Amino acid sequence: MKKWLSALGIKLETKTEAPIPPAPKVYQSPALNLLHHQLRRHNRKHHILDLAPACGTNVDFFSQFTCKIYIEDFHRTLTSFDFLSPEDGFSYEKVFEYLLPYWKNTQFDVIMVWDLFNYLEIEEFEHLVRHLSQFCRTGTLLFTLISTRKYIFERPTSFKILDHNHLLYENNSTVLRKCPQYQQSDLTQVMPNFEIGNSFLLRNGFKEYLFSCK
Amino acid sequence: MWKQENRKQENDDIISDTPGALNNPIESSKTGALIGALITIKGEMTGEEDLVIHGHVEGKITLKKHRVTVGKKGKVKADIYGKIISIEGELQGNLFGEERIVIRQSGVVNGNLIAPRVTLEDGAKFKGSIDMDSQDQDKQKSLPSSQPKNQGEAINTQKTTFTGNVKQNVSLDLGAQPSTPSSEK
Repeated sequence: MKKWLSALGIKLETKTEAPIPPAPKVYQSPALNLLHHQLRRHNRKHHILDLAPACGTNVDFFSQFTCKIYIEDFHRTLTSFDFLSPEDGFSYEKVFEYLLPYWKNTQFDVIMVWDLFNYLEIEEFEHLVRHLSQFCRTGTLLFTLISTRKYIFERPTSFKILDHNHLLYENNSTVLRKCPQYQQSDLTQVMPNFEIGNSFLLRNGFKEYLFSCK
Repeated sequence: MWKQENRKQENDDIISDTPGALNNPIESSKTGALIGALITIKGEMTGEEDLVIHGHVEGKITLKKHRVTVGKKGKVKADIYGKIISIEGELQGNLFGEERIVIRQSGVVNGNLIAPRVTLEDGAKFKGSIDMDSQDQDKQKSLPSSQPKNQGEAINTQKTTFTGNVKQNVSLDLGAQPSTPSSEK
């Protein structure tokens, strides 16, 4: 069939599809372990920004510390937001100010980005980090997973913290999309206010980073 | 008569959605107050008994020593002060739980939660902040809350007080009786 169509000069659009969603899997998370260690060191109230959808087990994990958790479900908010064109006065600053509005004196101690950066264009990525930097202090920790694979699932993975060293990865997507495959040099360029504290390349193709605000 | 039968049927249907909620509207005065699915309330509610909301409420609910439940069909746009607050429906506003806040699997909440213990069930949709530092609660309580827009007629029942407006189609059960004459139109 394919040969017959190609002989006629017809190209087949092949969608990269995973037929069934993968079963949830548990992986070690050395960066989370370090983050947990850092949080335990300071016996004060922590302000934690979680950009992923609400997850009970993650809230339970952070509740062992005295903390205030801000949950944003940012990918869903961003993708459902009606962007205005540049002619209408669109700017990333305005969009992020609208989507992530915090008081000027808000200072996060931890930002859980998870795998969100893989789903942002470099420009969105840069502006998001710039916006969040306003609410960081020296030493604010940023946790993220950057995929090194060519393809990623259509939607961000849901990460559940099982304990300080293990994450459960769940993704109900069956469709794959291209991954921007951000390199370490891209990250340092896009995140000038942050420095890499630790990074770990995992067998599952993700590279875990724990950044620290300068 | 026909209306009453219909009302009872609707309430029975809804009550079965809520585990641990009122099992019989007739006995509701013993266990708490119920706002039916077709009731809309705008205003401020205070009281001394448990409350289950299946209807629409807008304003402020203060039942600091009691349990407040928003049922699956409930839609609330209000700040809620309660001892134990359980959300199964939709809520937009801030929750202040003296003891605990639970967002059930079917719950959709947009607001800030302050309680010593907060439980988010798998599947619950939540956007906002969660503050589990009980020492901060007193400070937070002094924060300005959303004020009811309309101050109108008042309905006083045995235990629960409501100040504001009621748009009613079927029943309003605020604890004293399954349906009071003043609440029927």
